[in-house]
Amino acid sequence: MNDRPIQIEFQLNGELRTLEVEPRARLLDVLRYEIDCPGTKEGCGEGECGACTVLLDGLPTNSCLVPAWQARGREVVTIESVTPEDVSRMLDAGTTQCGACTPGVVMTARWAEANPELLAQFDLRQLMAGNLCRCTGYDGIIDGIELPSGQEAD
Amino acid sequence: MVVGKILDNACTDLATQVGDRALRGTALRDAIREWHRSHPDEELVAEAEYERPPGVVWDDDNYRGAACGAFAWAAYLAEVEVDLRTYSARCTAFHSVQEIGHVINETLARGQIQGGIVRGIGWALFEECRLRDGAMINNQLTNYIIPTSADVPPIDVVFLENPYADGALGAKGIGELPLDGPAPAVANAVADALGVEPLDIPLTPERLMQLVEGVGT
Ligand code: FES
Ligand code: FES
Repeated sequence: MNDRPIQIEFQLNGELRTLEVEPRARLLDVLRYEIDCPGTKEGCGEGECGACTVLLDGLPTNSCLVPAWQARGREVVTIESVTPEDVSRMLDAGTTQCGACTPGVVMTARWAEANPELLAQFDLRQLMAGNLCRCTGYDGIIDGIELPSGQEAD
Repeated sequence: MVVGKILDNACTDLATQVGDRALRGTALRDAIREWHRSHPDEELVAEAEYERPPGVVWDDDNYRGAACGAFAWAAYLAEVEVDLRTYSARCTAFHSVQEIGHVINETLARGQIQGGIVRGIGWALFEECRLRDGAMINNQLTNYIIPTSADVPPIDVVFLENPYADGALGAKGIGELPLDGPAPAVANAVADALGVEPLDIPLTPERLMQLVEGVGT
């Protein structure tokens, strides 16, 4: 196997980044350990829990399953882009307890909030089903998501 | 809250030794420094032990009496749906009433209870630790199934306020409480729906099929 580093360029939270990555490096590790964005968490490392969710071209993506080079030319948005004001509703609703799931939950929730047309076909519990949480029982998560007015969560 | 109180009592002992039992914070720190200056080479030691609330008696030799001053209480009501072709069971509604003394922070208390209940629902329907040679063999999220947001209904929690005089700010503990009752409630609901008597959980489709059709073991 060819192990030569690959040079990539991608947008990270609105900033252009250029770096070299190992062909087998996971996007999760590159974010956490090479470009100092440790907010994204690793839970299972096998695509089941969603703790590592980032937005890749706007779609929630398990960064533990994505080779970093696949971010080439694309747009990555991580929890580092989120301000406390963005999540004030979550803070009040009890969306987080231990916090292990929270960075991923927040990213999927932002995708759901940004795409309200999805709610015509799916309910919030389905949209959030890719993010496991062991602490909240999910009500705190669902209640923390800002729906377009007129839509009720449960 | 027991340990916190012991620490607080030890601090009171310390404060008393350095002059004033009400001292706390930087004032206590300064008084301790002062004490060391005027007692060179001496040690300042404070102690405190757990003290049972009056009337709570426990006999540790015979394991009799009241181990706790007060218990928290809860009631659970589960509604389930079972698909008679696939035998998959689903919890469609869940209600609970909790008496945990005084509720100090309602959002956190509710979240703790809801989280415990969802774990209980998972235990009733999906979660099975398979063991072999002293180790768990399904110890990954690919083969140990826990509930997602789509697998559980909203969890309704009602609190009954009943402040406990000997608890911190009137509270009782709630750590384990929400995990104990939900799985039996879900299992009873499945029993009621199917007219079977489940004795093991989780009530996976395989188990339910065996119970209803009497096949396999
Ligand atoms: S760490 Fe990526 S899905 Fe669990
Ligand atoms: S807050 Fe602990 S896993 Fe979600």
